[in-house]
Amino acid sequence: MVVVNVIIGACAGTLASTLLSVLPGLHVYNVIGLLVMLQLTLASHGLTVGPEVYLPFMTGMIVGWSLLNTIPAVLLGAPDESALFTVLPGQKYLMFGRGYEGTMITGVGGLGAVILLVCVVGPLAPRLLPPVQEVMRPHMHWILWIIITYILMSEWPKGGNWGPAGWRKFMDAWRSLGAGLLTFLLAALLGFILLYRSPVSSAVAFQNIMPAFVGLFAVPWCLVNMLSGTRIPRQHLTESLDILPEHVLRGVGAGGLGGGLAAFFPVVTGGVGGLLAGHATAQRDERVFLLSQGVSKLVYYSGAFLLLFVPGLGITRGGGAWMVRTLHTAGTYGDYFMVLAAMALSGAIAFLLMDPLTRSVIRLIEKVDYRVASAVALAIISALVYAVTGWIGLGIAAVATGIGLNPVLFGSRRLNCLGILLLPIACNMSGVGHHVAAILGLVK
Amino acid sequence: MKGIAHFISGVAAASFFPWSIRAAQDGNPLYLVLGGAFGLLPDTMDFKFYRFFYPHEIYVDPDPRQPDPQQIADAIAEGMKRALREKKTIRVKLNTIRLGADFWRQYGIRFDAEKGEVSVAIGPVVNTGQVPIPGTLERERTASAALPCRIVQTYDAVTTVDIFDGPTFAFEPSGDNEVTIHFLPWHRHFTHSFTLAAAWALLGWAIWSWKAAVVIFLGYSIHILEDQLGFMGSNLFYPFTRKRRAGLHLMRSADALPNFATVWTACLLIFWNLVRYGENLLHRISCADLLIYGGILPLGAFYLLLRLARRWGGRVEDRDLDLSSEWGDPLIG
Amino acid sequence: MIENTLPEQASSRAEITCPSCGRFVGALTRCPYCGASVHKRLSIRIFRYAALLLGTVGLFFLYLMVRNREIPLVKISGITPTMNFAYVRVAGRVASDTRVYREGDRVQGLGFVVDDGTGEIAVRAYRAVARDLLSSNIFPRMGDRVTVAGSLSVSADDRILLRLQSPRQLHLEAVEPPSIHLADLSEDLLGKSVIVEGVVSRIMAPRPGSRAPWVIRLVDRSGSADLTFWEDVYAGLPQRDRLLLGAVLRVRASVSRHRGRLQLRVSRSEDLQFLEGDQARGVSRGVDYNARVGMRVMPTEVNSSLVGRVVSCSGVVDSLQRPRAGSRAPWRMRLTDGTGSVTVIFWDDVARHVRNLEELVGARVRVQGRVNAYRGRLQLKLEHSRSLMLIEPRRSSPEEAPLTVSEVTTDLIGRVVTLTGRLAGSRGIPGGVVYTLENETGSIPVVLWDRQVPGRLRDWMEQGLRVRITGTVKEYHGKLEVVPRTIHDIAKLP
Repeated sequence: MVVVNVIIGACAGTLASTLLSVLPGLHVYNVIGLLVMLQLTLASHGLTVGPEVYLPFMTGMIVGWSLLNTIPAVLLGAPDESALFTVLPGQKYLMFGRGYEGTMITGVGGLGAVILLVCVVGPLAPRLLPPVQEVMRPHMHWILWIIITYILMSEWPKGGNWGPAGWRKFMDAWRSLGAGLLTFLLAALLGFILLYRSPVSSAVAFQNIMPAFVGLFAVPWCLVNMLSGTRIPRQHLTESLDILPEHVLRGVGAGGLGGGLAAFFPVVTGGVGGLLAGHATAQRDERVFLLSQGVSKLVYYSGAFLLLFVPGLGITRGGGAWMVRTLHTAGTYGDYFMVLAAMALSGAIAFLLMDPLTRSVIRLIEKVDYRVASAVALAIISALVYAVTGWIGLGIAAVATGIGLNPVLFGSRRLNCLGILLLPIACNMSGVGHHVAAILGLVK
Repeated sequence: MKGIAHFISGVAAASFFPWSIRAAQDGNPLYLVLGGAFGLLPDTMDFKFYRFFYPHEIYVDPDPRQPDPQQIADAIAEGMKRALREKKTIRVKLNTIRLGADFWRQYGIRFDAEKGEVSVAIGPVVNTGQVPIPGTLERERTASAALPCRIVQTYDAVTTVDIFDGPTFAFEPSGDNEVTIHFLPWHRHFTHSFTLAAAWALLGWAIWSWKAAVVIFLGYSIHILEDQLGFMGSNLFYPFTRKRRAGLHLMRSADALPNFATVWTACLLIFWNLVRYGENLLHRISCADLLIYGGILPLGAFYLLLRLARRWGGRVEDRDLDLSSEWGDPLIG
Repeated sequence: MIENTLPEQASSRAEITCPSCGRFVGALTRCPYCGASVHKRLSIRIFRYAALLLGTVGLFFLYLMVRNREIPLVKISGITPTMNFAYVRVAGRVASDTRVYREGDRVQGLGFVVDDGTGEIAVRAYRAVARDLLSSNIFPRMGDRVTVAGSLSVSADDRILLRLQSPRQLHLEAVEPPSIHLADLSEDLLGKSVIVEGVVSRIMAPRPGSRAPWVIRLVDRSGSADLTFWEDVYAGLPQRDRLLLGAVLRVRASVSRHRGRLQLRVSRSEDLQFLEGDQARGVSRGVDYNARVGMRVMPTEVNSSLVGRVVSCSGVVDSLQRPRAGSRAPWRMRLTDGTGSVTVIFWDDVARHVRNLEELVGARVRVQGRVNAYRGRLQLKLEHSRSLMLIEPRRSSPEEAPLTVSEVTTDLIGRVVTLTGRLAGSRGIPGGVVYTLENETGSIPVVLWDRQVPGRLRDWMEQGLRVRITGTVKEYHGKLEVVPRTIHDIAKLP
């Protein structure tokens, strides 16, 4: 009976994620937060849903979303070179009519990630991760500091490539770097505010950071799409993908490394992990890049969730795990293998759904302007923010949007927005967080 | 080497000192951060500061609509003539040809000492990943210009100009009717010297302590030593030395395998140092464990899978065009 | 000429190329090549300014808003799982001893429980915050009133704790606990702090490496009670040498129950004070210490009627037998006072803590131990290293009388001698101190090295004091000097 519940839960979660995934800008953690609230409400009325149902369901949602969210990320957004400084590889595929191929290549990466998690990480994690965690635990703070240092130091100036030597050339180069630093600092200040004096009601504090993340990442994406003056060209559906097994292996290697780093270290997100792994493996081929993006995303979200259940490890990573912790105390091998099984099942289902879903979305974007779709998505996520955190949440999202638009419109890295978590938490871990908060007047 | 390799090497170097780890255990990340930051600093100084103030005497700016290889070749030759005439170093900047947010027209420069000429070939359009866009290589358009003197080459004979910032050549009169060609003269000059490393270390000592000075010096020096594995070399003891000392020619700066190997090894070393100085650890981790689980098993497994993948699906083509330094690799043929 | 942009950019070509030189400029509003202005759609320009404005000014207003916002005060019973990460305030009473968590000598955290009348919540401070609290002497004690703000951590199984993020967010109102007699200890006082005074009648020290606490039996006129504290409290006692049977203490402790018995728990070294002089006498007057603790006996007076009782006995250590390596046998010491002898036994856990044990042979000591019989032979069993006190160190040769200063000649270099005299002065040297010992025949330097005789053990050596010193004769820069090995080589004379 437990097995049946697990299968049903995983399948239902994966199917639910298909609805979630096609809405651009909507994040699986937002929905899991709602589910947690629902579960607690049901529990308070004496209605319980067992963990053998809700855990596989949530696993299915996370795995399915990680895979299927590629679809709107690639297909529902046309870059406008008059507004943006950088064109992402997935967008290039879209603009050359190869959006289907780009999506499916990323999807193959996601499938590779599921195999990596289930067949490699799964058996080895309970043995290898506890000693690694024990060694690393007192050192997490400086790892964050060196990540911050590297993120800030490694950003390359976009301008300053032309013209005579001098301050003008220097300023031209540092415009984008300055925007990056400003973004990082503003995001960090927002992070301190939310950590020490969050104006969000304490009754829903478990979603304290949600409005900020929506504003930093999701809303700018929607707005830039709505702003774009570009038409999406006709997409061609191919019968095969222009990738070799070696590409897949390299993509799984690089993406697994990046996603794994992001899953294991606190505060480090998939984007940061992807940056570090990308630099470390010196990727150039865009196919490998797309594959690794697919791998990294799934390993990060699903791997972080999985870590909650690794016996003997006892760490919580990622918003999903933090929310599930309020419902369930994990640690047994039974839970661990249940989640692995749910991952395998939902990964397979989600990959099989990629093709029909991608084709459906392509048909949709031929009929519906992507700007309209982005506007609808913006309305939905705004409604979600309001529903959970109220007007103040919308206010926070608006401020965060201003910060999140900086990198897009001024040519710096979006990663700098992660200063919202990186700097405050690094300060706290090093024991200086309260000093900084005191200087800012946030603690009296 | 790539920035991340230098950075993590600096962190690894710092991790060998017990005070770094003990401070980290007490919540103070200073020494490890200094190691990483100063490991990356030489290139940061060059690419984010110095190059914007480096003056040039000649700017070569091809027309993006119709880039003329002859104009480029003539400008280079003219630079050499001027160097001989004025008996001073003339610096020539070759600008890139940007066509779009993600498109650049590539061109190559070849110095042929035997023929006594410089040739320029207009190549295909490439994206920011330096991957050629199919169908953009028009009929071969090349041109050449005679060199006015003998040349001494200190770097590659062929340079590719494509993305972001273009390269600089410095033509230095070096004898009777002879010019030495320096590639990227502003790079790895005073910034990549042990003397500057010592100066930074002294500053670190003044601000923090001798321990910070040691970490700073070592992190900075590791960068210099890693760069000596390549081709260009560095001016190791500026101002006591005036020229860059050539590298060992063992690798190119963006070769994937050496970079990855450096990063991976540095991470293992950092982990090992954390184990060595760890206190009250319940799990015992030996050097053999680290080598096996951190090195042999994952890398061995990856290598085996790579061989299988190649056997099954064929090998990914090695690209003729750049797969390494953004500052150019030899065009083949 | 190929398309020089991404496909479908034709609609915005005017916006991405310079109208003057025709080059690609992308998102820039000014051409970097010729400096011409490049027109962009109004929407793009508005967005750029709006983004900057929202991100800076908007953030500033948000910042001002939260600075003036009060941290919400919550009732513990009202904390729900959705309040995970909430930054809240809780006000109540400290309902437990504060526990300090250490790794080695580093404080890694501290924790206590707060009860606000509706429930209890654990409060934790980690690392730097915990250290800052301790260094500022902010130490919540059971019964204190407290208001604390921090972030909530709520996990499954109703595990809730409040993480203190800053020492400033802990406001403590210390409540002076009542002084009680030991007989007044009752269930009503459970969870509260009290002050007691009494005489130490028993000391049960944990074995080395054990996690058990110290247990001290305290006696006053009304009765007795057990004090417990952990090794970190003992290690922090500034005068722990004085923790002996018969010591008079004033203690602040919290009342708890362990295995059905009420006990007093001491959570800080500062809460344990040694009383002296009139204060001590006031407490110990009327306390039948000797009868409870044990009487002083001579070695020949140890007989079978005393089996099970603690007695105190002094004499010269005649012999000391070390157990064989790996054996479970105890150390055996024979104590003699000229009238008879008694065997004193103790195990490695006591021996380990006795400094220079082997040099006690020939020394005069006092021991406090329990009389027991083993295979028909009576012996005194020491339970604690503090039960063995040195009265007078061994002489260089027990029969030799002390020498005069003038008798110390170069022939004695390298030999151990004993001298008596007065301390005439002292001066510091790197790594130690040099005293001058004077008697009627002259003066001689006596060198005490810090590593052998630490400074705090020398505090009682004042100028003018009469002492007996045993040490090795050495020569330094042509002058003779005496170098004792341990503090036990120096005895104060009447």
